[in-house]
Amino acid sequence: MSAPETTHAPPQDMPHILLVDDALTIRAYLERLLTDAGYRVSAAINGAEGLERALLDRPDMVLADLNMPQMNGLEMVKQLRANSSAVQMPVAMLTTEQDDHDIADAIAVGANFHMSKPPQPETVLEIVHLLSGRGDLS
Amino acid sequence: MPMHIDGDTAVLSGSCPADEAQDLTDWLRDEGGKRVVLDAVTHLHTAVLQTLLAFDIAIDLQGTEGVAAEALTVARPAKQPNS
Amino acid sequence: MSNLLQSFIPEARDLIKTVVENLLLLEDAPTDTSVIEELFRAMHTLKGSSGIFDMPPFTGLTHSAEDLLDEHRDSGEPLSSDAIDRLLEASDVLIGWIDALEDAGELPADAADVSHGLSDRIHAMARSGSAAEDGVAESGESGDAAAFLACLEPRATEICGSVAEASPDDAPLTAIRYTPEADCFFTGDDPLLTWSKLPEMIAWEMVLREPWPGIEEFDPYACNLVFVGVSTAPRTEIAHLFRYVSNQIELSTIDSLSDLEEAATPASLEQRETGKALPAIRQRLAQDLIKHQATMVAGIDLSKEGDAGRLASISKALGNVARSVPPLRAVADALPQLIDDALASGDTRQVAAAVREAEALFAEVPAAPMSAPETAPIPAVAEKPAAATGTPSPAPSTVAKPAAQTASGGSAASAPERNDTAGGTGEGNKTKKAGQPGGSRSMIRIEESRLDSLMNLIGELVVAKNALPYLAQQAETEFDVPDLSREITSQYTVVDRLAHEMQTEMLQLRMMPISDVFDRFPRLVRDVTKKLGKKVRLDIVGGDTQVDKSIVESLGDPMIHIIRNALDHGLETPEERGAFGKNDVGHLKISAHSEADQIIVKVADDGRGVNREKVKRKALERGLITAEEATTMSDEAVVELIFRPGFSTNTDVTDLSGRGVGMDVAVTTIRGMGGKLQVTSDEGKGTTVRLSLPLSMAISRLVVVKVGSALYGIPMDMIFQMVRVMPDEVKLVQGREVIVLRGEIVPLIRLQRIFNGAKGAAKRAEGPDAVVVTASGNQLFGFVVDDLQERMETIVKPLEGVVSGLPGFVGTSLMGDGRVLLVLNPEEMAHAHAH
Repeated sequence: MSAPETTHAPPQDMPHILLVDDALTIRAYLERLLTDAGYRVSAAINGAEGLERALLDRPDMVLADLNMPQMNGLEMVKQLRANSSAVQMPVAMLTTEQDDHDIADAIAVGANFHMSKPPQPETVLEIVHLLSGRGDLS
Repeated sequence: MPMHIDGDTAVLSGSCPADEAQDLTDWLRDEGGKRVVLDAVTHLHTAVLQTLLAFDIAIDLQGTEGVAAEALTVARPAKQPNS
Repeated sequence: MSNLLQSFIPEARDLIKTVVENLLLLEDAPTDTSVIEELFRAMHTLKGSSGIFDMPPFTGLTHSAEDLLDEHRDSGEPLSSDAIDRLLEASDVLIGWIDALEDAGELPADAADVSHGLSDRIHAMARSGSAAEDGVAESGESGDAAAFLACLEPRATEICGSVAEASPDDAPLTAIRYTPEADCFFTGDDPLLTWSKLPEMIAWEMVLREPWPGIEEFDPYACNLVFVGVSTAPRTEIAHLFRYVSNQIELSTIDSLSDLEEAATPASLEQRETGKALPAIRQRLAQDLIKHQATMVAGIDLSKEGDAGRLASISKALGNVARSVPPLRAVADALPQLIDDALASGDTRQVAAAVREAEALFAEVPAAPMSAPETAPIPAVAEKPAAATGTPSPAPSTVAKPAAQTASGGSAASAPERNDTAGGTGEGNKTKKAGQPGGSRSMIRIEESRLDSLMNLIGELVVAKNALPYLAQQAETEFDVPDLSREITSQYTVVDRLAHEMQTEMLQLRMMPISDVFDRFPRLVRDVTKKLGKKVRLDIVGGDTQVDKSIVESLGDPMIHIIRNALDHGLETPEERGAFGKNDVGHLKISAHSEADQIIVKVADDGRGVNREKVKRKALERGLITAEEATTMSDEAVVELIFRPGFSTNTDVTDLSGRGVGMDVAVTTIRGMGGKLQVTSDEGKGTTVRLSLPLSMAISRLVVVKVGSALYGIPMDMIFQMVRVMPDEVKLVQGREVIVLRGEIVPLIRLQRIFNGAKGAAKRAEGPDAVVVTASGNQLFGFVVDDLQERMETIVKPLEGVVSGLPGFVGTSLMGDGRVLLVLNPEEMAHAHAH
């Protein structure tokens, strides 16, 4: 059975999470996971689009894939952090396996956390809870 | 048709499958003191049951017995002990 | 039809397909537990999903099948061939019902009877109906009666009274907590229904998994109820009832009434309250997060581009983490000022010190209570209550009214648990699907009709575009504005390119794996060989070859004929094979691959092959060939005789492939699709039928010809050459008009005569004849037309309505000016009129 026939917009004061991943499956999976947990979720399919959305929508937090076409996650965060007018929301980066290189790169560009793919639901939810500022609401 | 809506009253009867839950929810979301009559309901799907529980409405158990009636009365998740 | 039913139908089809596939796999590997597991899972989901709708016959039949499978899953005993037959029969019935649901929105009238009959037969195959006790008893031991029975406390006296009545000898009680998964409705569970079957229930209560969300957020299809109860029924009986949801059940034995009384005392409640310590996973991740920020701070050099931004993000991240971990708040609050200072001075040491302080603070107080979001009355995850003092949680929300905005809708304790299962299923699907052909392609479902209408629109765009050159020509010749003409032409090239790209994209969208056709063959081969008493090993290769949807739709029937023919006439019985020294199990290989712009599909058997002498004799008897032809025919030509209409007749009708139709119908269909069929056969060793099909039949290139006042299209790929011949070049051979082209004799077919009868023929033009020479097999034919006009690319639609089935035509197409063009099938036309 697919999703329920109606979905309801989460309340406006729930943290807004921006997902940036080129893989439809991962996007859909995370979107469902986070929506179910009550977050507002929007998505972008590559770094360029992700950067644009991050600057325009000012989400509370960004979850971004590292490897993407057009503009990868590292470049996206780098440009975001270099933009002096941007809101510097926390970014967690999805890396493949526990690749030390990737992690070092993620730290260097200014990602506030990293987690390896495939993302475990518990981990994702906790990270998002902690980094999005949701704790403030409870 | 197990669900019949007439103004502020909805009458459920017979076997109420899960797909009723959505219609019921949509109807209950509208303003107003709603009343739901369970007229000889033989089976109440859990989705319909929890919809009835989630909204603050008057429920009239007309000729409905068994587990559905129990769920809406004694087994109803209401007061939590001492907390 | 409700949306739910609409989504059920494709889901059910997929599941039934999985069932059939795995049943067939089971025949080859009867003891493969993973196959039985997959089979059971699919049947279970199917039963469950059907339960959402009110259709007892469907649910009943799937239930009995599920029971049978469950028994074999437990015992590890292979399913008998009979059992597999019954289950396949059930699958057929279910597919029929799904069709009925889709067409009529309800099950057929006889569904209840069919369901009962078949269910009874399936049940009879189950050993005794006493399916093994499973999972729950062991896995549910973790349940802590004290913790989850607290909600029954107000009724403890009542319960004690009931128990005393029900089991005066102080028999053991079992406490049960059933926490249905939030998305359980979508797997078809109806927890209340299951719960209601619990025998010997003394008392029960429902609690909320988490507080109700606001009215707008309430989702009726996310199960938020948890069932708690006490029963005097034997534990094994309870475990059996909940065997399909054993992961959602906690059982706990209460040895005596005094336990229950104790369980319901406030003391245990107090203990429960302490479950508010920071969940271990959050604790660990929070620590990791802070560490990560510390590492980042250490690398920051404010003279570097972007580092100011990085520093700000660290402040933001730490601030957010601190909100869930109160002891960090002081540090987090101080950070913005420190960062401002650092930005001004370029010195980050203060910030680094603050972050280190946060790290240290956190390390000191891991066991301290921290504000976790409020938990639902009963934590869905059985947390071991930590010994810590905490402020009592606010009163859990009651059912009475959905709070307008309950901020912590997804409580910390329940959210991960719920999503855990969601993730679990997701991954389960992934790994399972990886091994399945085509399993990963159904990412988005689009109604076929939408694709078709998009395709038609693009077709019309292509046609509309074709009007532009005509317009350009008019601008120049009739209105004498060559500039405009040039402009139109240049715009045309742009539109033309875009239209082409759209076509290409569209064609890609329409591509489907050929396994959609092939998937039905294992079942076919199994049924046919069983009926014939033959044995065959089937290999299917290249199922992932992509072909146009139209090919997938049309290829099934002809291939069924070809495969039946191979099994019926090609393959020998095991005895015959033994006599020839062959392995008694025959081999049938069905393969597909793409080659240039063609798809090659082969059906190869290792049977007896085609006996050419026998075929010739038969063809002679049937008058399909002359005695002279029989002596001069090539081997290939002889073999292809079996595809001639009327070759096989009643004398060799079998239940399967006889009746004298079949193979010639297959050939006609394949040709109609623009494909070719070839047979090669090695007597005694086997036969291979090779189909070459166009990658797509969507776009055709046509030459427009004029016959009388009407226009017709002839597919370019059938055209060998276009020539103009003078009347004196036309010769008469055996009373037929022919021309000689490159040394070959080409019979002429006058379309005027065919379309307009003798009067058309009479009005023969004086000048040279325009002749379109087409190739049909090795034979050339010349179609005499009145005029050759433009070439165009277009979509040819099949003939519909009154003209459907009109021989000699493949379809219709629209011209740039809106006229409808009949498109010739030169091969058919030639065969029909050459004599």
